[in-house]
Order: sequence, then C-alpha cells, then structure tokens
Amino acid sequence: MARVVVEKLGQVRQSAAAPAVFLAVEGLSMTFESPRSGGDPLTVLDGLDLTVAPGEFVTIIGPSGCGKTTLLDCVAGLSTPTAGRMYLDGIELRGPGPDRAVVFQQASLLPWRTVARNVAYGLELRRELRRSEIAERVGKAIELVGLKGFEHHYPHQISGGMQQRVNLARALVVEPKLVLMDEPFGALDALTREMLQDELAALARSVQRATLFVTHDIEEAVFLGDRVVAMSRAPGRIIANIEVPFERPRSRDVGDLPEFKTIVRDLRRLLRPATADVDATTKED
Amino acid sequence: MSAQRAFAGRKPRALLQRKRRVAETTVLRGRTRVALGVAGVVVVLGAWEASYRLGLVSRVTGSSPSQIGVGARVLVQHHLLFSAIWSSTKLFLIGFSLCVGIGLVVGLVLGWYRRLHAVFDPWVTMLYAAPRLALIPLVVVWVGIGVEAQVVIVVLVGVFPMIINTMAGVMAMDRTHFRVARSYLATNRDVLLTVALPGALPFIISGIRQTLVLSLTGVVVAEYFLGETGVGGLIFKSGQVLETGQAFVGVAIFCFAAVLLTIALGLVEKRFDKWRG
Repeated sequence: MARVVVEKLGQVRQSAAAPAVFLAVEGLSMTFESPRSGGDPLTVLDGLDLTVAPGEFVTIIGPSGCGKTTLLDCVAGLSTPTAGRMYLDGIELRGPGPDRAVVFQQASLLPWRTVARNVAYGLELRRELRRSEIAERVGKAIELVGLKGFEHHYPHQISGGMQQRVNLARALVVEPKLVLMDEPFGALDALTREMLQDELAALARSVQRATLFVTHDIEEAVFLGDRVVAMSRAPGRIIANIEVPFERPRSRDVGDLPEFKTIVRDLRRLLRPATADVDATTKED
Repeated sequence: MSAQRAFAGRKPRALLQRKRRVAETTVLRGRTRVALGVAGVVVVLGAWEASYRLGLVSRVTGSSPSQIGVGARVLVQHHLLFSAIWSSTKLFLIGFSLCVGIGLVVGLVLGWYRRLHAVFDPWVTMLYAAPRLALIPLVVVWVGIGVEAQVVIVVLVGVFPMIINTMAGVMAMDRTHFRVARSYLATNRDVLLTVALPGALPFIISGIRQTLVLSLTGVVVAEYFLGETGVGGLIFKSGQVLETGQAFVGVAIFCFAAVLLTIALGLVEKRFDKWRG
C-alpha cells in the first residue's frame, strides 16, 4: 500500500507545487459561550493563521488549554469556528470531509467491532468500495501498523498501544489528503510511546502525507515534525514556527544531536514563562 | 492537631494489642457452589415434607412436596394440566413479544429524538411509577375479558422496563464514538445503526431480563382476574376449593418457567459477551 500511496501523493505534490500551500487556516477564532448564563464567554482561539505545505508534517505544541485541540477539531470539521476560513488544496473547508481523517486522543474504537472491522469503519461509511476491496485495503493497513494476526481481536483484548495503532490504521486506510492527530500517544506508557513515535516517523517518511500533529510533549514535537508550531496560552496564537532540519528517516539518535537539544531548549523557554510565574507565586505563599 | 482532636474522645489503644480479623474473601469452586445450592433446595423441601407429616402444617390449607406430586397426577389425569400450560405459554409468548417489540421501538424513538423524549418522558415516568394494575377494571370495560384483554394486561405490566432501558441505552451513546462516526461522514442513520444501537445492547438485554420476569407476573395477574384461564386460573380455582396441592403445582410451574427463561436469556447474553471486557 505504501508505494501506491507515495505515487498518489507525488501527483498531489506536483499539482499543488505552485502555491506550495496545502492547508491554509486564516483568522481562525473560537469563542465558547459560558455554560452558565451571564458568565464570561471563553475565547480559545483568536485570529490564528497557519499553513501546511504539501506532504509536510507539522506538529503543534502548546500548554494545555491553549486551544490546540480546538484548532484540530475545526480543521477536522467537528467544531464550527466562530470566525475564520480554512482551505485544503484551494477548496474551502466546511464540516467533516473525506479529504481528512482524525487520529483521536483516545483510541475511541467501537468495542463491539473487531480490529479489522474497526479499521474498516470509515471505508464502510463511505460506501464507495466493494466488500472485497475494503477487506484488501484493511488488510494492508493492519499490516502497515504492525497488527497482523490481531484482525479478529476485540479492542478490550489488546493493549493501549495496539489500540492506538488501530486508531491510526482506521485513519490511514481512507487515504485522506490530510491526517489530523490529536495527542494520540499522550495516554501511553513511555516505552510504548517511543516505539509508536519511531514507527510514525518511519511511516511519515514512506507515506509523506500532510499531517497536523497536536502534542504537549516538546521532544515528541521536534522528533516527529518537519516544522514545530508553538502556541501561546489561551486565547491561542502562534508564537513560533520552527523548521526542524533533520533528514528523514530519523532515528532515536537524533535526540542526542546538539541542534535537537537547542530546539527543545528554545521551545521550552518559549512555553515556560507562565509556569515560572505560577512557581514564583507559590513560593511567595 | 486535627488528628489529635479526632482521637481525643477515645482511649488510645495499640493496634496489635487485640487480635484483629482482617477482611478476607471467600472463594468457592463451581462444583461446591452447585452442591450447596442443591443441598439448600433439598433441605427446605425435606423440612417442609417432614413438618406436613408431623402435623405442624394444616392438612386442609397446607400442602407438602408429596401432596403437590399427587395434585399434579390428578391434574394430568383430568387433562387439565397440559392445556393450561399451553394456554399460559401462548399468552406469555404473545405478551412478552409485544412487550419487547413495542419497548424496543418506543424506547428507540424516545431515546433518539430528543424533542419527543422531552414531550413523552414525563408520561413514561408517570405510568411506570403508577400502580398500573389499577387499570384492570378499565381494560375490562374497553377490551372485555377475552385473550385480547389478557394480552393488554401483560403488556401493561411488562413493557415499561423495556422502554426505559432501551431509551437510556440509546441516550447513553458514547460521545467519542459519535465524533469518530461524524469524522467519517456518518449520516444519522449510520450513527443509529453503527454506534447507538450496538452501544445500547447491554441496556436492551437488561431491559429484556426485567420485562421477562414482569411479563410472567402479568400472565398470572391476567389469568387470575380475566377468565381464570391457564396455569394462573388453575392456581386461582384450586385455591378456592382448598386443593392446595394442585394450586402449588401451578406455582411450581411458574417458578420453573422463570428459571428456564432466565437461563435461556443468559445463553443469549453470552453471545454478546465477546466484546465486553
């Protein structure tokens, strides 16, 4: 499957090469009404601009509550922004679409479906492919995420890491133009997380699909991204855009490079001030 | 400071001064459990039989396991037993199926359409809480005392747990599952069929379980009050002529039916346990 995908995306890349902007987010704002009447409305995003180049893997990092998940929800079409426009490959985005797929924070698998049927879920809902074609693509996607042999297991029978693999396969199998990942490894133990990061990095190289990856883990953001976008505390704005220069495929050793450490340190400083304030106040008490 | 205050009223006592029995769980093997259960039944029936023979129980109004056996033989000889069982079975099957069918549809609709739920929820709650048997005289006025009226009563008694459980199950749809479905462009119908309904299944099964028991109760009530038919009628008539043994035959049949149906439902339930962790 991987090769076919690369060819397909290669074409996408060529056709989109002229503008070199694949996803464009312009002036995105999101204000939530207060749940209590009379309460202050909460502005989570305030006029956010963001672009993603064709095939680019962009990681978004920011303190919790900065609106990064809201940004992803808006691009996915699961939330309607208060203001702003979004374009994918020149077409304005309104609501969910077949050109995007989300890898959710929790695996969110349907517990009554086996691994294979969970991966097939998106394809089944589209009603575009015949059963045999779905089965074929599902088989390849399951192999791609390393779950061969677990097709007929139910979600409760597999580990959290494996569930996230299913979550990933479910999104990749529909061959979206843009993959949206919402802290998919956040709830995993450190070892499993590293393993999945490695595999995703390898996958990102072979598939080269435009990806927005939200995380609050600075190392993860730098390790996975072609570019790291840092967001401020709510209302979230972009406070830094850092190109990550390392060649792919990246191995774990990238983390030992001085440049890697510099980027991580810069990002940490950038994101820290608010926490430092909190520390200072607690000390005064 | 606060810890001191908490103990101020009591005399300080060393933890190990007195021997303390720390909580433990009792684990039984399957075979032991079955043996104990059987023993319980045998002992109770034996004690009953003994107290009847010893004259501790009235020979006129009381009965005993052996007297129930005698009663059963008499009923079979008079060709009363099997026709009664068949009549009750029919009533139960029709009533129970209607309960499940109506409950599923109504519960689904009320769980799925929030506005309809808002309108009808007070009525469901009210009718569920009300002593619906109070309606029997009205049922007689409206439907008569035939089989139709009996079915109406079974449904009246048994349908509500089915409605309420199905409704709750559909409404309890997992929000994250809904988001997944939406992200893959699911229509309302897709969400209902692939998310809401499968998710509601455990609720629906628990509704069926409650409805099963209540339908059986409904059958007895309907047979007592309307036409004295079936096994319920048998119990009623036997009781009136002090044929206690025969009355107990009917009671035993209902107990047996309830156990049998619960076991059957357990087997059905097992099929859905595959995906429940």
